[in-house]
Amino acid sequence: MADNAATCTCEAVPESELLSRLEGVIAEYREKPGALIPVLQIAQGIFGYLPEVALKRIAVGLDKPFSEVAGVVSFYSFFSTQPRGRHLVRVCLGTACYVRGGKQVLDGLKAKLGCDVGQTTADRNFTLEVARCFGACGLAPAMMIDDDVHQRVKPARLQAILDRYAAEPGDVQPIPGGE
Amino acid sequence: MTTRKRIESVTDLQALCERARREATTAGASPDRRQVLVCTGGGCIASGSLDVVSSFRRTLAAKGLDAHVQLLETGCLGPCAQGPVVVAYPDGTFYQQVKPADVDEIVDSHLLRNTVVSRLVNRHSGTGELVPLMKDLEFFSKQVKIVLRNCGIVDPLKIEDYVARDGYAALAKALTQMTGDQVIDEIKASGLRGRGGGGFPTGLKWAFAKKSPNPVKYVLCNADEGDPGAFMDRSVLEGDPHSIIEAMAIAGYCIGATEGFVYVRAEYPLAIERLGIAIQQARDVGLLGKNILGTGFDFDLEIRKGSGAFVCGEETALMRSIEGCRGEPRPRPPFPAVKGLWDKPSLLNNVETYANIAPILLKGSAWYAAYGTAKSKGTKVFALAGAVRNTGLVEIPIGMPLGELVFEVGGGVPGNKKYKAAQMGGPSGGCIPTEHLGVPVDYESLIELGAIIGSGGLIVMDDDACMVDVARFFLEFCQDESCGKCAPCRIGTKRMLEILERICDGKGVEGDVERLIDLGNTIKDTALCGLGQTAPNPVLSTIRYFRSEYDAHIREKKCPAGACTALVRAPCQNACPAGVDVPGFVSLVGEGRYSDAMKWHRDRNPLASICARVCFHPCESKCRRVTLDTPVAIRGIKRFMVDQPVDMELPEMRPVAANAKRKVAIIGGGPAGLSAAYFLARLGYTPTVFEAESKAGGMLVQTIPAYRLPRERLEAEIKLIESMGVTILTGKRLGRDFTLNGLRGEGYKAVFLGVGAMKGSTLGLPNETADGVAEALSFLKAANMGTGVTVGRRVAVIGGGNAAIDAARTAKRLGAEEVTIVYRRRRNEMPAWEVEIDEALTEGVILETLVAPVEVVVENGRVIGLACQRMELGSYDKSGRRRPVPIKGALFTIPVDQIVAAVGQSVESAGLFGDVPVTLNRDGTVKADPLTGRTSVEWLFAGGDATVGPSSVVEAIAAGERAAAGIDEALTGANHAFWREHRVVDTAFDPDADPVYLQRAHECLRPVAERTGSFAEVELTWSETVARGEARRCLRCDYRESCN
Amino acid sequence: MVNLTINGSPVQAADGATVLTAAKAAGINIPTLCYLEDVQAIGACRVCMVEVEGARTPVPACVAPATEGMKVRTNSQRVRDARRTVMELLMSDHAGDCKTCDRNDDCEFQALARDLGIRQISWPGDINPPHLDTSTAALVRDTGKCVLCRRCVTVCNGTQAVGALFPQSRGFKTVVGPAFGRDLDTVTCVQCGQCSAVCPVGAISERDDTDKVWAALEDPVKFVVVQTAPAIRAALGEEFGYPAGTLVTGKMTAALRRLGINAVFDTNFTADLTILEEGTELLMRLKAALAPDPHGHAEGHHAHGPLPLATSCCPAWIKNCEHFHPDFLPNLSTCKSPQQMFGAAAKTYYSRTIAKHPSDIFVVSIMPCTAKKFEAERPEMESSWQRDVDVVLTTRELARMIKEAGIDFRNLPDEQMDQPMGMSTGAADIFANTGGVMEAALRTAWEIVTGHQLPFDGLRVTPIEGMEGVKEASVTFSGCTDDWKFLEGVTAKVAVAHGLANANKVVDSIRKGEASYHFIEFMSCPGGCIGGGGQPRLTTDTVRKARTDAIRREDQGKGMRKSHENPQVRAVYEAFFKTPNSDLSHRFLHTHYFGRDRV
Repeated sequence: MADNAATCTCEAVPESELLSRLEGVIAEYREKPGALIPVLQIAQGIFGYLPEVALKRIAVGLDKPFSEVAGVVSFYSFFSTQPRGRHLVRVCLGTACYVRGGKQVLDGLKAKLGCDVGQTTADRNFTLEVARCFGACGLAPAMMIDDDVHQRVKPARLQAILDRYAAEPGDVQPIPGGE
Repeated sequence: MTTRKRIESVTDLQALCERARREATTAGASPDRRQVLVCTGGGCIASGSLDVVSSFRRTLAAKGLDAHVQLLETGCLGPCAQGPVVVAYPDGTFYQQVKPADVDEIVDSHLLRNTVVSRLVNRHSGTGELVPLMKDLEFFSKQVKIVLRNCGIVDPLKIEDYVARDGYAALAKALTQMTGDQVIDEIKASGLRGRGGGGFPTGLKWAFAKKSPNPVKYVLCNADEGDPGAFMDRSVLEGDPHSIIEAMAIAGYCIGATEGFVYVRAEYPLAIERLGIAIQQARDVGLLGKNILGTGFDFDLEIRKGSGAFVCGEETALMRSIEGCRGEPRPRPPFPAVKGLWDKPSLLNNVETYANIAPILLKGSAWYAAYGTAKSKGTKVFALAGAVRNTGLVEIPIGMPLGELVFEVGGGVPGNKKYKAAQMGGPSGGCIPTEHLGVPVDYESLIELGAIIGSGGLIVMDDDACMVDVARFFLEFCQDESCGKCAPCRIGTKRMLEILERICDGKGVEGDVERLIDLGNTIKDTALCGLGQTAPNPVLSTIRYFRSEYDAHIREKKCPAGACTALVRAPCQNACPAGVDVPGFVSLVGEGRYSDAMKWHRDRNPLASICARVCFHPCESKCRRVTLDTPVAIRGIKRFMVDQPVDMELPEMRPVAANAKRKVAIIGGGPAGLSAAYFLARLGYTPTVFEAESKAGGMLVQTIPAYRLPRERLEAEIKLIESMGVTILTGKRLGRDFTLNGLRGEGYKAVFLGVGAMKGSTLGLPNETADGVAEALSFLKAANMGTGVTVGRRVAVIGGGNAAIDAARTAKRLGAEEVTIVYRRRRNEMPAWEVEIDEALTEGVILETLVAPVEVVVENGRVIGLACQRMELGSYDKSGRRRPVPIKGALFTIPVDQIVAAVGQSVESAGLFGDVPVTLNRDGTVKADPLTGRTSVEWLFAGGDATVGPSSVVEAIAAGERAAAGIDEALTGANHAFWREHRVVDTAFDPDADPVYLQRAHECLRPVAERTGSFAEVELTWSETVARGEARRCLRCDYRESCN
Repeated sequence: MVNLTINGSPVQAADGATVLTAAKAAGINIPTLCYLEDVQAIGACRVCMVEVEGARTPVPACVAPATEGMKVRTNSQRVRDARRTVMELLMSDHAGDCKTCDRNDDCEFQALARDLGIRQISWPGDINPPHLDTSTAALVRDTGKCVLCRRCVTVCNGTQAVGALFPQSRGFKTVVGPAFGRDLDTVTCVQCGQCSAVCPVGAISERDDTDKVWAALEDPVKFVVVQTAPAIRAALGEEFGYPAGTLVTGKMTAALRRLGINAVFDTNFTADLTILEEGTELLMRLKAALAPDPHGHAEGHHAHGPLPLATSCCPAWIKNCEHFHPDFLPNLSTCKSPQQMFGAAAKTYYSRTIAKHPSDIFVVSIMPCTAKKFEAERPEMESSWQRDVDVVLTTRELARMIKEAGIDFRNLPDEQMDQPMGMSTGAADIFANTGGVMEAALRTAWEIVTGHQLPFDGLRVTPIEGMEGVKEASVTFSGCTDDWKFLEGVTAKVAVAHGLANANKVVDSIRKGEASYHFIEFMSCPGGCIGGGGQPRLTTDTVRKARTDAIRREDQGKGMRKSHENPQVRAVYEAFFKTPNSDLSHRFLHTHYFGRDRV
């Protein structure tokens, strides 16, 4: 799904190009009722996050006050106004995962990545987030890296999982024989 | 991609249905078609099922089977824990946890040689027998699949599969044969209620939306399944998306809407993708769009993705979110049926509700209403998660008892853990404790207990879950997800969370629980939307059922479950009632410093040799090593430690001169009294112990057989206590030889009452006073104290606790030829230790379970038999177990000449207190403050079984310690319990070293042959190598604090 | 009509009434906080909870419809407890210190705490870190005091369509403010101050400039002159316990003198001046449009602006245009607002009259408006080679000074303003309310063109009176004098809009070609300046109407009711500016505008 944006390659594309793609999206949605959130979702897919310049274009394009656009962005936890790493790591802290050790997984990741929740690693490879249930409760504790759900994660296995994503985007290493 | 023909009419639809059925591409559609189904639900994908699919594809092709064997990819089958799941048809063989590497074998063995691959097949949880067929699995056999009727059967990406299973037939029926009102009447008659949580009657909701006059209306689907722990909506969208499309079109037809929105949470990318494909297919064939089935009815759907806000599951917030706004709820009225999306009348149901619509229209409301209870019809999908074996999705008729859902469909709690509670309904719900496992799962019954069906998340918790922490978790969730619009939710939940955080942090203060209740009730009364109104539920519900856990956090600064990190140094130590520093003495043993280890242990528990033998070691059940391999055998290490030939050293004493003059009496020389004396002596007191029997030790000498606890060990430890300045007077019985008031008269400043619960309960059976009927405590006492015991040839012991086992094994040793234990429940429900039962059986004791005695058969005043009744399991009782009920006519008699009743014990309080006004609990035990032992009488303290009923040795030791500190504090006005300060052991530990994988050492037992007629100790001690190796398995969870 | 029972007594309420309005009509007071009469009923604060028989939980009275047979209890123990807890929760996240708050003794929140009998805060805990925004000339925002009632959000986004303030983040971290925690000076805030007028607490207030005035009064060199806008005299009394709509012109003048002001003048004077300037500008634009000079020779070089001409008295409207309608800026009258004309005139014409150096004259404006503070600080507003207006005080600040000085306002004698700039006509008075500038302009323009009095009963252009958001009128010229023959038979179409949302609608409709006008009056605040952001709180529709009526009485009580009749205005032309729209008047009385960022 594009708008998760974890594996975007935006670094390679000049901002003007991204903005013109955004203008196209705005033009497509301008007349649709309730366009703001879909446009924000797509914009986050284009930029990997929601830079201010994009939000301003969206505000003008959809004829919304900037404060309202910001109010919507800051309301929903999926929107990020900070650049994100190439891979988005989300640790589930839903109930099932919580009672099955999700917190320990999170602590392990914080230590391994050297960053806190909401932050990005120094090499911009990973952004760490927490999530509230992917519906993988039967396989708790779970975490998601980009769109891959990793189940029954034990702190001891974190490094092996992260190593698969340490390489460049699009180059995810499979673990032979599954997990 | 195949181009699909447009369906212009009902006839076209029927033609497609027939064609699709002929092609038989759904799972198990034809008895002579070979199919391999791989579950590609989200759970199985996470377990790697896509790799299994490609592996099958390759292997089938390589072996030339691809033309003969259909490879099916379907949505979720339910048993996520067993994923990836593969089902081989036509017979329906169920393979679980299939890895790509297993595929070859399945193809070779199952497909080519018709031989089941047994290692990949489920085994019955009780009997261990192979259960190869899906339909025979316990997990499936009690389910009724209406909502999930197509999940795991159809390929969600093929509309033909759906049509083959009567898909869109309900829409066709509605459009061509029914008016909107008729459809609504049918739904009303079915009794279907909203499955999103509120349980509002669905038909009524549709009727309101229909009644609202407006040319523009909307049909909305809530797929923002935000409750953590619920994932049935995801499963339906992933596994059977057309069922939602069809139902929404029917709804559009009914209420007069031509447009619909499905609001799906963004966490479900696969559901969004599959629903999107399904909508496009429906459009392609004309089942969405203009002039559907040639009837002139127009309807189309759009997907809107959520962006991560739980509150958007609330209907008004969801609509605001579709409108592109902050998802803030607004007050109702006006209700969405009047003023909804863009102020137009709107009908909103959740995914599961919609999934019921088509079957109701096709099979009729009466068929649907036949499932469920009087007020709650049909089925409900539950997502089982947490501490339950069969995690996954199950659909059951509403009204099934919770116990059945958890223990039979769910397979019960894994490991040797005990069920503690089921959290139902997520952050809006509550928890159901053991005593209510019998509750029928329906809307009203659960609400009465403070929980809700909600969206159907059911998370099972075992003893490892701290209910305060769980409440804190849910409140943190709600607080995090509060939209912030209304004050009670925005600030109130924050304040509640702050209180809970401080309780979990060990900073709770008296009154915090009352504050939580007060604030919680006001928030329920005043918050704007459902999120806020229900946010306090998990807190209020845990307070209702687990108040004592809150009190332990606040008053004792202790987390009984061992989950609150600020309160738990090491989980084993936390679990020990006496607070023994387990990593401390274990690591000292590991270094061979046995004397230091003993001293370290005795700092908190003087009766080390005793606990090394008879303690039920709660420490081991909390050992973190279990996450690596198996728990450290702490009791075995202790046993080795106490058996080392080292001198008994006196513990650290900090005597205070004034204390020696303060007279303290201790009544009862059992573990509680001895422990109280020991700790008082360490503070300089010189207490006097009054023991009624001829030897001190209480239960330890009177009822625990010597083969479990050699008497010389006990005597040595009692001697140590005496050497500290404690006087033990034996043969002094309270009420007979002295009185409480008398002690006061003699100048005793404080009295500790540790008289135990020594009165054995009687059977309440006809003829129980006959010759040959004994009560277990008296029987054991007579045997142990050498006061003369008679043992029959054929003995029946009634009961399932340790006393029953002790009596049986003692009888056996004393020469009984046949000993039968009669227990009315099942073996796994016996309160006795597993290993004790095993050893009793090894020694030849016969165990009759599900048998209840009904009469003592007497001849000439003597017992000649025990008439028994075979039992079966009925409904769940207060203890969380199925109640045994008689099987009619299944009566039989066991010929015996002696019956020993081990059916409970109580406090013998008659004549004990004289005219001292001691307040008792309802069960006759003495009411005492658990923290200090203080009773209703200022100078009288109590502890052990006398205050809580029959409990464990270590609990009694702990109670003695608390009372000692309590007495000292009462006499001196300050707490001097210096041994409670955390001390750091000086053993070496390298925190950076990786733990070595090493299995737990086994107990070492005397061969059965040597046990006959002997009271020699059965359990033997380890060699030094084994013991020190085992000690070094300790992960040193305490280390964190010692390095700070 | 619906019949319900409130606290056991039968009550009849109009259809569509809420429990709150029904109770109020029956004389039963239900405490409220986020509710704002005529503007907002969102059920957010949960203070107005009442019990309704049969309802599982208490319901918010402000949004609960009154229904037939309903049984309501507004004062049960359950609702009292609930309200008190809610209030204590709100107070627990309120960083303000009442003793030092701008709103001390004038705070709805404080009054609520008092009325609900709060004696302690049972739920202390973390508070949101407060942010103090002093970035603008007009407003001070302290998020720590905000109780998230969202009244400001509703007026800023709804009434004013400015959208500078919006709820940001969610849950406990929710804060009302500009995007991403910015300050107001970086966003489209037009500084109308409507937010501060509705704020129940001290979270948004006018910037307090009273100290600057006190300092000037202490300064022996400074000659402090004050101008008072027409809307002040109809509202200032409210601060001293008079009912809304009490005219206190004389007491206000007396009070100002007792504060030590050297000369008390009237913005009305420059309002009359504005009419002459703006009226002339209108006629010139009409002429350029309808009778263009065949030789391309315009009268003066200022006459070529497009039609419709839009008024420029309102600084918030100007800023609104600069942000949102830069294409419309040429349509704005180049006239400064009366406030700025006064400043320029005071430091040029008047300073000469009294032979003082302009820098020794200290001009204080008393305005109903917070945006006037911004206007006075616009860089171009120093035509007198220094700040034309030194300090702008709102009505509320003036009241504060009077109280601080210990002046017994209610017992002051009525006094007259000073001359020459204290004289004005009724036309200037009505600048205070919506439709007034238009009416005043028409009174003068009509007479210039026709030589006759405007043919409306009592000179009141009734179609443009009242509280309708957008009002239109048209007058067909007849009997034009020779100079204005080109207007004969021309129907002049005028429009009046108040509230910026309405103003935007008018501009949009013009832009889309859906409407065409010759002259439009725009006022940012609902009701016009009488409902300004600096006026005594709270300004409800009832209060607006009372103040407007008072202004109308002032107008009707005047002998001179047309700006051109003002002899002192005539005198200022003769002595200084020569003629309307002259080069000199352009130098001192006219200005220009800039486009600003849209976000």
